[in-house]
Amino acid sequence: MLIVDRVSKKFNVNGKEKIAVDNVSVKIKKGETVCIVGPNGAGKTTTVKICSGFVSPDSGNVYYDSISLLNRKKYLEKISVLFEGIRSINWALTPLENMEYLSGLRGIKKNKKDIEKYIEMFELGDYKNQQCNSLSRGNQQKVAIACCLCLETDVVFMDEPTLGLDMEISHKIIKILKTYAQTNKKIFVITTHDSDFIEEIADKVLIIEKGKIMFEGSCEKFKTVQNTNTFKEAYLKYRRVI
Amino acid sequence: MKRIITVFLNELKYSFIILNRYRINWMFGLSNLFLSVLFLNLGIKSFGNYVTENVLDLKLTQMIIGLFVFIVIAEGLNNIISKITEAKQSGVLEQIIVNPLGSKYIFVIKFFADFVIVFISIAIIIPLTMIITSKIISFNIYKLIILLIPLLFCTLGVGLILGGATLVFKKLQSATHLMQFLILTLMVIPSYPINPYSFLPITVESMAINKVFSSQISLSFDLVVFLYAHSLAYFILGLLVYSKFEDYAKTKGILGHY
Repeated sequence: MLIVDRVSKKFNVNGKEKIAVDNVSVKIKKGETVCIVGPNGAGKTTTVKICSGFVSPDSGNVYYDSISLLNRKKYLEKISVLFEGIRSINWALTPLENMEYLSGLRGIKKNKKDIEKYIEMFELGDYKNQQCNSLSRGNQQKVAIACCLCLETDVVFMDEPTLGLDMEISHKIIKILKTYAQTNKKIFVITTHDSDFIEEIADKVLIIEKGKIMFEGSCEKFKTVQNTNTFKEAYLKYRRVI
Repeated sequence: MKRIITVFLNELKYSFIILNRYRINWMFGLSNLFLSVLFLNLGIKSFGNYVTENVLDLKLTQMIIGLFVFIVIAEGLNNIISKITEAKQSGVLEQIIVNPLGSKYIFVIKFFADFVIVFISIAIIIPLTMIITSKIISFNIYKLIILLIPLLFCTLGVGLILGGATLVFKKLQSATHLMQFLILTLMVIPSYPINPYSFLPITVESMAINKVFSSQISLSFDLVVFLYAHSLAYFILGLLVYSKFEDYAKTKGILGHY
């Protein structure tokens, strides 16, 4: 189980203190996929960055199976993270080389067969020997997600995995991640604005505003509370946009 | 240990892939260095009219050794800063920061993997320099290893301090060209016999290589002990300072800022 225990974080922005994450606590069971939703600047990315050890919290802690985030080496072995905006691949390398390189960077030696499995899963066969800087944005994102998944960690954090992608690629990625999450019993924590993504994949939704969790529950529960048919309508109604 | 070796071999493999992919850049870099040596050689030889043959011989020897030391230090220092900059640009800095081994150790491993490439450059440039200057220096390989280890660790320590600073002060990478002047200054500061200047980084390590290989001093036990203690101190200081900078950047949330 992944436990986020009373995590808080403040930043100093132009001399003013800004609360990014405010006493956030959540428990996520093995096999659960959690989507974090909220307006821009709500603290979604900071929450993921804290849970993945990229930003230090001011207070609170994160545990996976009783391993504390403070026990950095052991904790980080259990997690992988996909940062926003293709910050997770080496653009000078090909998709095949990237998967091999990023696994090797963690001391994991992947054989070609293991890597080919992910190449096939993300339909990257035609581009596997092409440098990533010459791939389309959608294919670069597929490579980044494939690299993240091929580490085969227990917990996967993803920050806006479908941001800026066209509907077709976005749909393909949702399908792949859904199948992967169902068959591998991993914990997925994903920040997103994509309502289709949330409807398809989320077992639990966290709505964050000004660093606080305002709602925690299933997508269905949220729709019932807001008395709407889709998550998009429910969210907009909640935000009083409609 | 097995994991460290896997990471090292992985880094080495990808250093060769990148070297091969951008081999033209590497070859141009080597030819620039080679041209500089040609000019230096002509300069020293033109002074040859005014000095005795022994002095000219010594200057040529020192130039070749100085070049070797300069490549090791300059590449070593540039290595860490450019590795951080390159990791930012190529998109893997975040993955290095969240690596279970710890980013400082990943950069240390990267440094040694890249040093293999630096050594290949040296293995091409130095013999060519010896041919141009008609000055053949016979290296005692054991002495070279004994003196090279402290030079590498001291360079690595300073590189880690500068690399850590790059994580916090983003503009620092644009001032790396100034570092070459700093290196040259540290290389020529009179740091032997041991004096207060000897405690500055790199000074005594580079001076020892130069003076031992140009037969001006012999390699004594006391000198070896001083070199290893000095370089170890800078290496440990480098690891500590890097950690402090990384912790500061993680606390301030500025690691992902470019």
